Amino acid sequence: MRNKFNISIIFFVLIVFCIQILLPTITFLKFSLVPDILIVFLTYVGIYKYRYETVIISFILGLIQDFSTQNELLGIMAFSKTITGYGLGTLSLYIDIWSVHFRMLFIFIIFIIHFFIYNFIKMNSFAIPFATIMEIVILNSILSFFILLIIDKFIMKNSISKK
Amino acid sequence: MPLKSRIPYSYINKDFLVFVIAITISLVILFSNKSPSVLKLKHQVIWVLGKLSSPIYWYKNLLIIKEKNKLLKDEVMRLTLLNSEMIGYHRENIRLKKLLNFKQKDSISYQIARVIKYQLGVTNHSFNIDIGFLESIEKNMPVLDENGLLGKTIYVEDNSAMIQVITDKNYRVSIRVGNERVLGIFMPTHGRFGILEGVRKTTPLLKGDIVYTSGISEIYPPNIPVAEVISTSQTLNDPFQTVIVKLLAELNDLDFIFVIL
Repeated sequence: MRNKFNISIIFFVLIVFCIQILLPTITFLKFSLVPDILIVFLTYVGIYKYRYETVIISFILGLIQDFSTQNELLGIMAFSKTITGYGLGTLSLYIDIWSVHFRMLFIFIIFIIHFFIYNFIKMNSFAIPFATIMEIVILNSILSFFILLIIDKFIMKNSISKK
Repeated sequence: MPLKSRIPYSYINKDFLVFVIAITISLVILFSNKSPSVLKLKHQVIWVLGKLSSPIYWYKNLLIIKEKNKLLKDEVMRLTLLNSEMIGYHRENIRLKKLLNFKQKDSISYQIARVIKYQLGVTNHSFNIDIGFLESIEKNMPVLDENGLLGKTIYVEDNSAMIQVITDKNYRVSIRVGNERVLGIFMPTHGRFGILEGVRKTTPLLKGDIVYTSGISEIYPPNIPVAEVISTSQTLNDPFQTVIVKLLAELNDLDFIFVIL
């Protein structure tokens, strides 16, 4: 049963990764945004799996994303995704305790932390104002959160937002 | 998929361990890059860690400073003592040089001695020196310092001798004073002061005139400086004038003296 579950996780990872690669870049205002489907997937992993499993999956996904998308900042996605995985893994421990609103707020904050770490390190050497970095972070977080809400509503049958 | 209900703290150690390992690996990979962003990030991380650990360094430095302070105090004390010793040697050196010059100026033969013990009574001023019979020292030998007459030997042993200081109340020295080199007797009064007895009224004396041994005595050779004139006074009924003098010899902190053989 457990092995079946793990195989299904690997299967989902592959699918999600393919979707992530195929996703187009969205230009909003003056920023180019790429929806992060992996972080949405990790949110569900965090709910259904143990926290340490979520951390391991996050780390591996981040590492694969690092090697497949860029070579200058190898480890940046592994780092940010690991922190995100730990945060989202915490979600499963309190899902029955926290209210829906608090749960959503927590997920949104985790998304912000993820994008902040990634963008801060990425744009560290450029003379970009901190407010601009925060704009990119917020926009990416909102976009990913919006995708999460859509998937949760229409595919996952309100698993996160259930009362 | 059913949601699992778990005890929140049951896996906290395992979770945290996995988290720390994953974070460590990812940071190692991240910091192994050479891109400007990573270099700047390294700099920022080091700066933050430095700021966070500054209270620890401050506390450690405080302890080190305390320890250093203690060591430095010891060092200061050691150097102070050494310095005092050096100053002593310096003064002794100057004094010995003076003694050497004094000895070279005169043809009289001397023995240099070191003062080893003071015996300062109310009326009997004396001290011991570190030479005696074995160095040809005998009783009633005049003793000088580089300035003038200091006393005479009154008791001699093989390796030591006792000196009666010129300030002793019983001390008398035959002297000559003034341009006319008139005779007189030196008598100590108090401290380094004394009076000259038997100096005629007609003898012209000036303040600062040096009083020398007369050479009449069997003990003292002539022309050893003894004292200098401080003041003179005369009375109608007395054929002699009263002359107050101050001893030339340095009586305080005696260390090296000469014994005239």
